[in-house]
This record gives sequence, structure tokens and C-alpha cells, in this order.
Amino acid sequence: MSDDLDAIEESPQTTVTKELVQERVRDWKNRLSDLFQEVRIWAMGNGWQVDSSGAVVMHEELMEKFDVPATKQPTLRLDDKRGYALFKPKGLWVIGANGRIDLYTSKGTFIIVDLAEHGAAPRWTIFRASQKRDGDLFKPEMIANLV
Amino acid sequence: MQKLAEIKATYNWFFAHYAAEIAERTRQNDIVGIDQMEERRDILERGIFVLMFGQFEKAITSAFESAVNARATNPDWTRRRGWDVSSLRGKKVPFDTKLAMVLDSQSSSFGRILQTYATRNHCAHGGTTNAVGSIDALEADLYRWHGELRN
Repeated sequence: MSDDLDAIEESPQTTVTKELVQERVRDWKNRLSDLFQEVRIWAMGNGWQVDSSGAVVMHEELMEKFDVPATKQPTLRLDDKRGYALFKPKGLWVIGANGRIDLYTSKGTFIIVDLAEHGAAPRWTIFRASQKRDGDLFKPEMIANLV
Repeated sequence: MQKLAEIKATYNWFFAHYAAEIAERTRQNDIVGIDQMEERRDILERGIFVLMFGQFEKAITSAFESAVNARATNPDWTRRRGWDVSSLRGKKVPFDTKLAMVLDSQSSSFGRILQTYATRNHCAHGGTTNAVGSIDALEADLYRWHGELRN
């Protein structure tokens, strides 16, 4: 193992480069955007007040190492008399998943991770929404029961 | 993996307190305040990750030793063959060797376990500040992998 961070990203078939890191960041932001758009459409159709103007900084270890500038990840906030839900991206390079979003609601804290391999269609899986050890595939309509 | 449930229960206890304490910050959309709490959570979750994976490492060692002992003592050389070498004895057998003796190295789990082991080493030696994706997902993986081990 040539480098600490390489262990997180490298596989026998790939070598980490600046271009790869940039591509992964783009892919992550696209996946976030697609998921939030899905949630937004559901929420607006169900009377929620939607705020997608927020953002959090993304500047992870691999980005720093390969001199990839910091960028912004969108957040998504839903409010209603029923409660609130805040989708806050945690990061792309997390241990054991292809990205994580924390979901904070008026009822609790939930974890949404993409368990798909890099390059495959996202498999957004939510944990702590039920007792299932393997989690549940995330769907926007779940929000109704999580606030 | 005797202690895995206990470690996970301890994590659940922590997480319940975390969720309760962060609630006011999330209600107010206090992103800076949430980030501060998440930093502490990240550190704790990395520690929990190392402890939980350690339970799985013990299970691999146990399965490996059972496999070696059962075969190395077989009076039939055709069954003992290769299992009675000294390099499979003692405490310095590499993790990937032990794993390959109890799990098909061509299985999809094999590569993921090795990668998780490498990450575990970096966590344990301060090599990464990356967050854990989900302790719950890790628990599910560990139990699934454990079920695939063969003596």
C-alpha cells in the first residue's frame, strides 16, 4: 500500500489521479442533485415548503491531496406544520459506502448511504428508519413517516 | 463475534444521545453547529468501526485455526498436505492468508473484506480522517461475511 489515502480509493484496476478525483466529485454532485430533485418533486407535490438554496463545503482528504479546489454540495430543507427534514451531505469518501447524506428530521437522525459500486446506478439506502439490519432502499415518500 | 452486539448497543446508546442533542441545531438549520457535533461523531464512529471490525478479525482467526488444526493433525497425508507447514502456525500469519483459508478468494466478499481491513488499519494508525458511511451497514456486512466463513 503506497499511501494511506490510496487504500480508500484504489483498487487493483485503478490508480488515483487528480482527474479521477475530479471525476468522482462531479459524479457525487450529480448523484446528489438527482436525488434531491426527486425529493423536491415529491415534497412540492405534497405541500412542503422546499428550500434548496443551502450548501455545505466539500474539501475532502483526496481533494486536498490532489489539489482539487473546494466545492459546494447542496443541502435540501423541507418544512411544514408536520415537522422538518434536512438533507445534509456528509461526504463522498466515507468508509464502506459511495457517499453519505445525513437526514435530520423533527423525529430523529437517519443515515442515507449509496451502497452501489462506483459507476453503477446509485443504491441509496437509509438506515435507522426501520429495524432492518440491511437498511431500506430510500424513497422520497418515506419522509412522511420520518418527520 | 461475541462482543459485536455489545459494541453495537453501546454505539446505539451514543447515537440516541447524539440525536437528542443535535435536534435543536437541526431545527434551527444551524449548519455550523451541526458540523461541530458531526466532527465528534466522526471520531467516535471511527473508533467503533475499528472495534467492530476487530471482532470480525477474531472470528477469522478462530475459523482459520479450526481449519488448520482439523487438517494438520489428520494422519492421512493427502488430507494433511500443505496444512502442516510451520508458516500456518503462530501469531504472525498475515490476515489475507488467514482469510483466504476460510473464504473463497474469488468471492465478491473477499475483496471488500480486504479493503475494509486496509481502511481499518489506516483508522487505527491515524491514517485517515474520513467518516464512516454507516455503522449499521458495517454491522450488516460483518454478520453477512461471518456467515460466509468456512472452517
